[in-house]
Amino acid sequence: MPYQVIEDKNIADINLKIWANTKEALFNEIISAFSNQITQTDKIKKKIKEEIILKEKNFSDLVFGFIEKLIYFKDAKNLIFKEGKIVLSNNQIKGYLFGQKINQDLPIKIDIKAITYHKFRVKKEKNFYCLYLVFDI
Amino acid sequence: MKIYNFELKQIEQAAWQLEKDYQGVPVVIFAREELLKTMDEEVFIQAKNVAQLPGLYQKVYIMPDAHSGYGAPIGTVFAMKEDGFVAPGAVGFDINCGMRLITTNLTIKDVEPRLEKLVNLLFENIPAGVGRRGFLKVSKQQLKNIVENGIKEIEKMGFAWKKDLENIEENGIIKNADYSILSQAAVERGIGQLATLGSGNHYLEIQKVDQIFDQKLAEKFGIYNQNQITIMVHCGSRGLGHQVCSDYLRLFEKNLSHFKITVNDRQLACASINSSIGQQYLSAMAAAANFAFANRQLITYQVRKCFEKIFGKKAEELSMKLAYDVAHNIAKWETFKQKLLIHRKGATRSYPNQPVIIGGSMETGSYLLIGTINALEKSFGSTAHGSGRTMSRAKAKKLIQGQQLQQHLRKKGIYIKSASYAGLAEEAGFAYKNIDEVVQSVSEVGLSKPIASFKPIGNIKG
Repeated sequence: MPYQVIEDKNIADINLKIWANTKEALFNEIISAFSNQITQTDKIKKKIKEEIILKEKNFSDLVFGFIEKLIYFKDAKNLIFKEGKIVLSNNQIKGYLFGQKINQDLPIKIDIKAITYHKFRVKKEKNFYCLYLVFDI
Repeated sequence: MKIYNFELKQIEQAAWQLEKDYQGVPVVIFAREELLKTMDEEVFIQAKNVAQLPGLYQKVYIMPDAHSGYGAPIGTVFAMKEDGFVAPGAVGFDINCGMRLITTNLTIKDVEPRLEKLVNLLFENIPAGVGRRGFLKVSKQQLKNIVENGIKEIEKMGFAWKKDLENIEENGIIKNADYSILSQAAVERGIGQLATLGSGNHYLEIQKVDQIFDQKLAEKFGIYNQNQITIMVHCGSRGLGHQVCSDYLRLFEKNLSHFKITVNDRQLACASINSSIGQQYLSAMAAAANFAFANRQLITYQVRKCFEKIFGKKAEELSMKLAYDVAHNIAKWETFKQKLLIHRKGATRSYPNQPVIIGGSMETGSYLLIGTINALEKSFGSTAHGSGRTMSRAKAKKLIQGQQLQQHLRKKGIYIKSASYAGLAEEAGFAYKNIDEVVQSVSEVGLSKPIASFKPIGNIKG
């Protein structure tokens, strides 16, 4: 799985590095890593399709806003996603998220309260776009 | 003493000042030496960042249970004057996360034979974890009334005793709350989550009184004997509060240049208190704080119902009184010769004669303390809030599995129901500091004094 838990930093929360070989692919890896903190991504069924459109002034803000949306869907609509079909152009994403309602069939691990600005950054490392973040738990 | 790369000067037995090699106000850390050494490096890095915020008044205080957070460490206290700044990241995402202690006239002998039945019933009726909704469905108008009027509204709805209102910080209402300031996302995230515990380190615990250190004061708060049963609740403002913090962090971060300020960590983005966005945050934060008071009260209502069902007596007959309810993530106007906006993130108000609740891990126990005059002079009337983590969640999970921990605790007489075994493992007792040392630290330095200690016998968590 293209993410890594960075241990022994921010011990009460979850510190992650998520990567992908394109900016567009990074969104799918974020969905996978996000959902895998809360449950097991491979157990999520693609029963519901949710549209997502988001525009920000730069790519970093777009990624941040995208994660905030995932948190919103979880709390407000009780939804968790397995993957997305997302098109990126000019710091705007359009597409769909595929997942299901959170229910007792899913093994629940932990809740994510928020995405923090603390250590949040997106940077290119060799051939990968890498995202560093801390989730508030 | 040197910890990591930080020089610390001892100023009292349990108080240390960080060497001032930066532009900002001094940082004082309240902790016994052994506890100080268990703090993770991020505490010192983040404390130094906080001390460089604009407009700080006097000093930044770090509590003995401190551990790394994001922006500000958990366990941070500071004050801003009226012309200073407000920092949502130094309140935290879980606005008015707090502790509540309920007493009973039951003893361990009454509860032990029915413990599993009681814990199971509590677990069914008080949703914990992710995706479960509370028993109370409210309209947007009702939510407006709740966030603007706090506990008073909950009492009007029939979910609180009149006497409960007297035993809550600020009587359960933070003034100037404004529903209209809340974003649609905050409303939508919160509206289904009233009367729910949430996840992470939130819990509802059945405890027995372990030791009484001050009998007279203990009796004042409804604690009479060892082995008396009490209930402790730890939770906050759920998705509504989390969204308020997210909304204003984003807004403040975009407006930093407007205020001509810089911060060392974007999570510490702040705004002038007198600005319109600063005022809006305070109104939204007050609304979230009132939501949290309401949440803990609705959980109390369910607790009383469950006890009534199991013990076949009215909650009044079981003397299920609210001992106290305190916030530990909040910014509030308080007066220390002058009006100051006190930010407490993972810290509890500690005024003379006011009860303080310090919750420990599900294995080790908790404390009821009393606030002091000393705290008014030393820490803007503040003290610790819990035992504080020493180990990452990932590491704790590697050391023990949730089911294994559940069985281990059952052998120790603690029955646990959790929505998540992984979440349970992350909250293992060994991942936390020794709460006795936290209490000894605040006691030695005079920030609060212990009244009684409690040991867990039953626990539900997310």
